[in-house]
Amino acid sequence: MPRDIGRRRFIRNGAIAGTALFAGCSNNGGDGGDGGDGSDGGDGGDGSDGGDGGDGGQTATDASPPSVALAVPSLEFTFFARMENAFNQAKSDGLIAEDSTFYDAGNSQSTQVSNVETAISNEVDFLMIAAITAEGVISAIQEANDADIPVIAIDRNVAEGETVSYIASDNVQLGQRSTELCLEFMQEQGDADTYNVVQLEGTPGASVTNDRGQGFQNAVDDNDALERLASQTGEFSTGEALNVMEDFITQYGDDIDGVFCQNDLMALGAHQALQSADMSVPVTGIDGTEAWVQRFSDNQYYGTLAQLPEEMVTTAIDTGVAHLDGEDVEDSITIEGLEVTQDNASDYIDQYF
Amino acid sequence: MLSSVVSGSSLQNRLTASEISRYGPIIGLVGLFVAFSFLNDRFLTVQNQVNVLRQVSIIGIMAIGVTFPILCAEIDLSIAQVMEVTGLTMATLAVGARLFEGSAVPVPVAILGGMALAAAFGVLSGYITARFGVPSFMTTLAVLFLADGFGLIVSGNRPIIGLPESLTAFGGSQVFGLPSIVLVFLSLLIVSQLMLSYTRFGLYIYAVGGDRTAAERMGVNVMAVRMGTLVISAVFASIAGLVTLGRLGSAVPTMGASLLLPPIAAVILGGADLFGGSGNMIGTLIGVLILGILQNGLNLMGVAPSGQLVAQGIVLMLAVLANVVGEN
Repeated sequence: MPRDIGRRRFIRNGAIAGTALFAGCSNNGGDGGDGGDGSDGGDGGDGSDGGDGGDGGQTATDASPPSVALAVPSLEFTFFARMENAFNQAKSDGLIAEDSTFYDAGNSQSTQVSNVETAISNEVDFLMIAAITAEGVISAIQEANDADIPVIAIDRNVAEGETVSYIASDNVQLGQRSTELCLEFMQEQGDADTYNVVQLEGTPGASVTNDRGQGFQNAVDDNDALERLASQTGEFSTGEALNVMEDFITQYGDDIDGVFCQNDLMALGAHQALQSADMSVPVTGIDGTEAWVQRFSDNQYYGTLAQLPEEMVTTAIDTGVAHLDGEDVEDSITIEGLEVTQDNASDYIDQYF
Repeated sequence: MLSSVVSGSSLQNRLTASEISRYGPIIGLVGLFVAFSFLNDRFLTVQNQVNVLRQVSIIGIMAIGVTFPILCAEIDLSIAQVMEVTGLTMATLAVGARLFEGSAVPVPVAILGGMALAAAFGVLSGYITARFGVPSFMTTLAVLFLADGFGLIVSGNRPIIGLPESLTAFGGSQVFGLPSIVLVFLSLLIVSQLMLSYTRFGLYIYAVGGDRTAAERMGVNVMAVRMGTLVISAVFASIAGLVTLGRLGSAVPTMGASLLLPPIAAVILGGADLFGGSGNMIGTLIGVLILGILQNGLNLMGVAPSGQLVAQGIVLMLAVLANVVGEN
């Protein structure tokens, strides 16, 4: 009997520990999602339309390139891995000093704080940070402020503390432009007075979902020819988007003239559903995911708005250099997404993957 | 189990209560079916019913798999990640991309490779649970992380497209006018139910799930049974991964996301006891269909995500309530 009680207690404690751990892990998942949002949230323009104060900075680096640090949440996300590549590229191009350091926080808040502290003790010339959460790095940013090290926020702004500039994309704009790209495709495909578009939304409540949804709504409001037929969450997931798209097809069938997806993974699912229903309508996404862009070669009316994290990093470096040179820089720089269609799909893939 | 020794009027009450628990799920399913038929004119079309079956197949296969450990009073929290990593492994092996860059293998080998990986995960959590008495809640949670990590390594965290047709055929083709994914689901369901009803192993699962100590005293190899259920669950997850490749037409590193709880919820919705010993595959089928029809119907009606979540919450709560009313 005592043995039995012992075991039961063990199981119960195990379950409690497990629940705690599980909560922890789902928290992690949440963070991961945040990072994912981050990857959704950030984008890069094609430099030329960055329209920022730092573009001229490149030439100013001739003397001796600054020693800098870039801290990102997690290399698990392609988005940040591409930032690392851009960072290394800038290093080999001599835009930044050889001893510049890239920090991966492995999705841990405390690691990111220590990363920043390490950078401060290394007395970097300026610090670039893509924060895991806006609030989690406040103290570290203040330390940097105290040490007179300029801070540039990338992708996600920090809640407090002084930053030189905040460089990120505008998800409202991305949503609107992607929806309007879809409208263009629909107009090319056939003449009609109005076009019915369905939207596949991201995870309910995520700020990216809200912003991109707002952009979709703006596009519908601005264009008389555009009608919102239906909207449903696809959870940013291919499988979920496939299920929802099948149900859309059942319900609305040929009334659907186009599909706007809040990310490219869902566009893959929408494509799959349309294909098995023998339908061919325009589909646009956001992000510039390789697998989605590869579908463009067979599909004239597929498109996306690509995020170019490389541009984000170079813009941040340029901005930092300009600031060190004593120039005034913009408080916040919006980076435009790059429109990718069949025309430039292969160039895009060659250049970035 | 005690109901056989209870006598008189309390027997009467118990019967009605247990009838609710036995027929609750099927009544719920029929109720949803009728309700949606009235609420939406496209719900009852053949095409839509085929769609529903197709949409529930992946969750269904995972639910069948996880029914085994649940009947045995175990739980498998790793199914979604095992499904993901094995699907990604099959895809990368068959295409020869990412981790296996340039070393493509024939499709059957790729499939077996994925299933072997799943079995290895099942053996790992199963052995540690059965041999050392660590709750399967913990061991499969550990495997959840392991499998998730391997999935990222194998796929390089990027979708894989251009899968060979022989690989996608399991989940993406038509056989006799029916989607192959549905046929895979239904055949696995039948095989599993036969296994539970007519094999010694099936009987032992109920025995161990009902009362482990008693089963042990009767000479059942409890360790083998507990480990076996977790291996079965992992292998079924890998089959789910295989058909997912066909359904999506690609392998996506996030394809297992949010697929952990629906299969487990489906099993419980179908009337299985979370603490082991009772339940069957027909119940699981009903549970899976309840979840699938609910989502399909609400989608057709254009109910917003928030409303869908509320509806799912209500249905789940009613179902588990019916379960417990039957128990006591």
